[in-house]
Amino acid sequence: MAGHLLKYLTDALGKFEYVYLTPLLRRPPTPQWIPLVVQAPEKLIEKDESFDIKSIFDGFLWGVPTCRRSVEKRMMRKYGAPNWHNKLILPRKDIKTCGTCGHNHEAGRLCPNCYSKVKAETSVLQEKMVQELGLDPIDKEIAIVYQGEETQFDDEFFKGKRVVQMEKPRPKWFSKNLLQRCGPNSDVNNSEHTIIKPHDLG
Amino acid sequence: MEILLRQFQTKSFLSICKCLEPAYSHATSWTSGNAMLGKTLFHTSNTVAMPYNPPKGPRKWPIYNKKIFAPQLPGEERRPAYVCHMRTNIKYSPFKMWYVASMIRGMSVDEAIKQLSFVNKQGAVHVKEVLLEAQKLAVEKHNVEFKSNLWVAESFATKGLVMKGIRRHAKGRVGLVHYFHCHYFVRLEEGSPPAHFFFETAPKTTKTLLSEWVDEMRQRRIPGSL
Repeated sequence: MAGHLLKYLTDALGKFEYVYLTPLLRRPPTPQWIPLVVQAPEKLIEKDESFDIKSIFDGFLWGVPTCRRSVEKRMMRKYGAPNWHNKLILPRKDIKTCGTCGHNHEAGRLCPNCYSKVKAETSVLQEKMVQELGLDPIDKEIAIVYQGEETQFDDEFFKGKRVVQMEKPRPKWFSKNLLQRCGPNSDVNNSEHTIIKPHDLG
Repeated sequence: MEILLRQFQTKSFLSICKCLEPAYSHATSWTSGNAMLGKTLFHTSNTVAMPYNPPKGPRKWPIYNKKIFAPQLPGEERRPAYVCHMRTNIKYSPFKMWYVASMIRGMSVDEAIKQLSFVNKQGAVHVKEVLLEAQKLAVEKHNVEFKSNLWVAESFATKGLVMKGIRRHAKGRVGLVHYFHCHYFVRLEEGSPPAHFFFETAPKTTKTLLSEWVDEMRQRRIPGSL
């Protein structure tokens, strides 16, 4: 009978605490049946109202696509656009045919086939110059004389020049008139200069 | 170049190399011995126990050259001669080869060779070589009279061998590396090229322009109407 009364009093006290004290204390009451070992957390997990779905990428999902590439974007990347960056290789309209050899070359550039001949001849000339003149300082002009041209030049021509004699005949495309200076200081109307006719150009 | 051929771990090295060279492969064959070229004649592999590896790679394209047509009827238009040629397992990506192959479609052979000489791509070198070979074949074996009287009817590239390798990234991560090969196919047809190979680039006739304009006008609607 005393135990029953005691139980009744403790229940009443608990109810009194629950109703009047918990609002004052602002914490939920610890239930009497939970052992003291397990402690309820002081602070519950707060629900943040400003949660951004994109925060899942802050972790490990770096460098992965977030949106599917549309077909328009794919087409632009692959084929380009005429007004943007044209990825298609268009046929070129600036390819010319060389009149001398018949090979093709880009407009505004020398024909590689013809130029290769010029380069070869230049290297031969340079070798001959090094052979005859060596590494002497370049203080005079060089006169290149091909096979069979010695009689065409007089001694005055060779005055003040170093002569390089070539054993081979002059190439057909190597014109003699390249050595004639033409510029603002040249005197074209000078009587000393002879007018070279087309057939003498080599 | 770090290549881990995991799937070939059980096979011998020589059998791997033999697998990788199909019938008309452009990749040079260094697995077979040839005394003339200074290579060994003795067998370096087991000739009895090795499994039969069938030739891999495309083989049907040149078979079109062997097709025999029925004799043509008297009034029928003369069928133009054609030659199909290809080059397999070119060490070049098929995605990049597409641009070169599509450029020359519908061009005459001379024009195509001229244009390819000035294209700054590695694939252009291969395509040009294939075109020259095909031109030669056409004249020698396919009854084509003039080598300039040919045009590119078909020109396309497909995926060939793909070797997979591994590369390092930061923080211990790995990446896959693909080493692409491609096959290039071309069909040259006798005759002058058509005026407009692509329907879309051809200029529209006044009749089609008019019909399209009329359709556009008829498609107009008042928004929000019944």
